[in-house]
Amino acid sequence: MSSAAVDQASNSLLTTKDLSLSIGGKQLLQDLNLDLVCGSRLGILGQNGTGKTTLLHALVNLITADSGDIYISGKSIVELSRMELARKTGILLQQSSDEMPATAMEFVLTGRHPHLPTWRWESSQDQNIAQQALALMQIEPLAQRDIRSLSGGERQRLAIATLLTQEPAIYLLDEPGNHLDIAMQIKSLEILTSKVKSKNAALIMATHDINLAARFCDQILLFLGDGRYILGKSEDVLSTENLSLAYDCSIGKASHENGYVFFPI
Amino acid sequence: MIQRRHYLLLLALAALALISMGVSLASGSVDIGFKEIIAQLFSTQEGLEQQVIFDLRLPRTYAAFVTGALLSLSGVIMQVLLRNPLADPYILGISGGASVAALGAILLGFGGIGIANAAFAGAVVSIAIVFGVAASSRGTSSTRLLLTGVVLSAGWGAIINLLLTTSANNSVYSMLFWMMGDLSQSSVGITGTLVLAVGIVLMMLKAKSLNVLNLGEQHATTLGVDVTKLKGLLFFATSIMTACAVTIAGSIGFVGLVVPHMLRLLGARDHRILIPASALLGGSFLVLADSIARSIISPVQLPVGVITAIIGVPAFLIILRSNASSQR
Repeated sequence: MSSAAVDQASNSLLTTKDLSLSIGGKQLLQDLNLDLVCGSRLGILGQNGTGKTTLLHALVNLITADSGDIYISGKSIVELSRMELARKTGILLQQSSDEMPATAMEFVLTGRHPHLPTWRWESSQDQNIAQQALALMQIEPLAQRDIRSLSGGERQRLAIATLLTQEPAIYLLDEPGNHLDIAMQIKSLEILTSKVKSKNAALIMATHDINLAARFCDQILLFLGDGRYILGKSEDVLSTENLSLAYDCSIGKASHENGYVFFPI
Repeated sequence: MIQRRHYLLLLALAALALISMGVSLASGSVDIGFKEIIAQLFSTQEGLEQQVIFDLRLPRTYAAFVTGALLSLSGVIMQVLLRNPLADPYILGISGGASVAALGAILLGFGGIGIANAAFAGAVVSIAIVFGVAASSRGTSSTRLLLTGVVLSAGWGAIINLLLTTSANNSVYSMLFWMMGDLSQSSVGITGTLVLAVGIVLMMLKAKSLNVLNLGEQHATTLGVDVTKLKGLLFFATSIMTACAVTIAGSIGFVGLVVPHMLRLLGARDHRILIPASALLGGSFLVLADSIARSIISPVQLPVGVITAIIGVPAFLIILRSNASSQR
């Protein structure tokens, strides 16, 4: 096999073939064919309840798709064990449940779980990775705090730090901007996208914030709400016509010195 | 995260286990001092003291330790399985099923071994009912499991009351004593020892996954834990350990609920520490409680379940209180 062919094969991180999803009898997505290569950043947009979260959950095998296949680095996800899958994909979930006590540091360290063999305990290297993730998200001082005492924004930063500690090849983000102030939203995504770039990973984010997606994603998957979708380069998909159609609401576009913003009219 | 203080905690608990066994061997109606116990343990002479220690106190101490360890280990697992801090080993109705069968055996005039076998069979029936009703192809949800167990417990409770109210006076006394937990006729045997040993090893192998599961099922799944499989394993592990404990000593309350929480409040939240620590503390706690139960108003023996609550409630409240004030 020539080195070019190896590149071709290993370049594709995530592929879906005719993937269809429905929930409670409602068709969310029909025949999605996605091919995500190393370094790419895909934004998922669409109205409430159109299946953004459902798609992300299907991609990490939290739910089973109606039909179609999902391949990660060329392997079908049904053939991957949970551990193998967790080394390849990491997801920032929208909901978290924590009635049980744990410190922030303990929580972040769970990100190393997929990398540890049964009998091995976290090494000082694992500790360093976790420590660095906390520092990146500027929550190092909270390391020994009980997670139940954290604010919504601190909780979200902790979840992102845990994802960074997991070091997956594909970062899936469900509403990464939730609970974060505007500066922290930008900073978090800058950290995540620079990680994607340096590790030659890939990123998929589902969000309601069109401008955040426009700023950080090079591809957009726009759900139309009835199973149909528009998929393509950001600059092609993000037009006022497409967005107005998808959101069933007139959406305008305004230019400013650093680019443009979308807004509802 | 494992720190030096965790090893110190385990060391302290191991010392406590040894001390509690010493106290247990020394307490009872016949006065035998510590020095004599140590001398007797290594002597070959036969005498009354030797007989008291080897035939009466040693098996009973061992039974108390194994039962306490089994109960608090099941408590730890049940709390993770149901992700509910109020869960205890009996919450899924295992002790109810065992009690109904044991009471039936008492009513029919069976002795110690007959009662124990009946209790074990009752526990197994109860486990099978809970699993049969609560399990579904998509895995078992904690709420469904909890609800099934609680409802089943209520059903067993009604049958227990029925048996108690319709039985003759003399059997009611032994029924009540059995239900409050009683170590006077206990023997552990090879099964109890084996179940405890296998349980500890199995849970230690899964300890890291338990840490992750504790923080949420979805979180655990995306971090590589096969939650459905793990929960199935936890259900059967905790059920069999509880069934064993109930078979040895009846339903001794409080140990399985409180010992895990005490240790968590003392900082042992990591299951790789919590599992061995709760086996040690649970065992020591029950050994000490049993020593008090049989010596405080000797020669009358109190049911050990009464003592576990009398010591456990204030001890737990004090730790909870000091923990709350240090958090501020």
